Amino acid sequence: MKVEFFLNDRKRQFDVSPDEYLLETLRKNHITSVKNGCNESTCGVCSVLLDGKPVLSCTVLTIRIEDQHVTTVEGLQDEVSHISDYFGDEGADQCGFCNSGLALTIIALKKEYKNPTDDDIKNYIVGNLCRCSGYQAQLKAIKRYLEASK
Amino acid sequence: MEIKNYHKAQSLDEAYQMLLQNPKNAIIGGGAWMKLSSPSIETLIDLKDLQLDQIIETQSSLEVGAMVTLQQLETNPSIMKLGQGFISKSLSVILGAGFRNIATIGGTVVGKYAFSDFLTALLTLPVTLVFYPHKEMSLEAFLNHKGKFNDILTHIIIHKQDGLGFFKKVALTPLELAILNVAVFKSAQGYQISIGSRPGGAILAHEAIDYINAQKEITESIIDQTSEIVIETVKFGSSKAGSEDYRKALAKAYVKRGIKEVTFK
Repeated sequence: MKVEFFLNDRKRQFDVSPDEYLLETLRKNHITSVKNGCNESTCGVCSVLLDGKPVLSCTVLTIRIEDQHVTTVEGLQDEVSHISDYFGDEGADQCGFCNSGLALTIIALKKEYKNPTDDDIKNYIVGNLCRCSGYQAQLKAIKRYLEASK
Repeated sequence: MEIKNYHKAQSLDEAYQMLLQNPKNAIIGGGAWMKLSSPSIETLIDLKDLQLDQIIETQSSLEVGAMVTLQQLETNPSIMKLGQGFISKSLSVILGAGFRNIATIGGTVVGKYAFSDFLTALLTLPVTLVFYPHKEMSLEAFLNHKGKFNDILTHIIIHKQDGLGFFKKVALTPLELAILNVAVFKSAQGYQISIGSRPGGAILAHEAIDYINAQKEITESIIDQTSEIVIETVKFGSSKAGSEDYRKALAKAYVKRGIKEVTFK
């Protein structure tokens, strides 16, 4: 079946089966910042923005997103690079496998909350697992990034 | 999981007729838990174009469309005020925002997931479910209903009540399913106590509710007795997550804590 949606602001057409998930569609089309981790809605490494909101691409059927906007790290390189600076400064980054999904989730958080508390941040990103950092350095980096973005 | 065809319904009637045509046709809500059941579906019917993603507030109720996402409901200002935030809290503990932006209220209710944090809290409020073509029933009646149900859930209506709410999810980590869920709500009409993830689905503790609502004054011993009645009359069981005895001990402690919080806060 044919489906059209905006991928990083460019309208594209894809030929998919009704049970194909967005994660598969993106990776088949060389959007490799989107990682395949648990593939069961838990780890968050496949996160993308759908109409500006973070979603797990392993859980969204591609056929359902006709005319919607999908944004990945490839489409937000300046903003993600800015976040990466804070992650580097705080030592919040090791293998980098979770970074793309986490960075997109943080960008959405920034839009949704004006002054998020620590609990707001934790509740928002709890679905983005990291097996390297232990989260405290990430939390510091996110808070510094949000503060600097005001 | 196999889906042979996909159809975006243009009306509720069209969706309903398609659903009746073939027992292998199915309605999709958010699709968040679909992988868990590995279904084989002939035609997947999508309601996303039917404007069921709205939350409409009236003086006496909140009318929530079945396609409203968990995140939408959690952050709705009126929901955040309801019972001083306990419904929002029960939604905020469900995985991360990336999941809550997908899962829908309709899918959660129709799925009757035993582990549902949200259903445990929602059950303490007066809630009417609206189905197409013409059925209405309480949330409790729907959760207790056995057998196939072909009508399409379109809205849940939360009848507003002023009161205080308490919700507790007990889990080893934020990403794990609850070992036990406890919710308590107190309004002018009295107390409601709901227990979920027992590991069975959420139910109201009717005997304990009747007992506490018959009391003129709430004392420490009344609260103790209420929590005792909960563990004597509500059915608990064992699973990999926790034993029956452990769940009973948790229920006793958190029912007490919940009643105290909504009574003496």
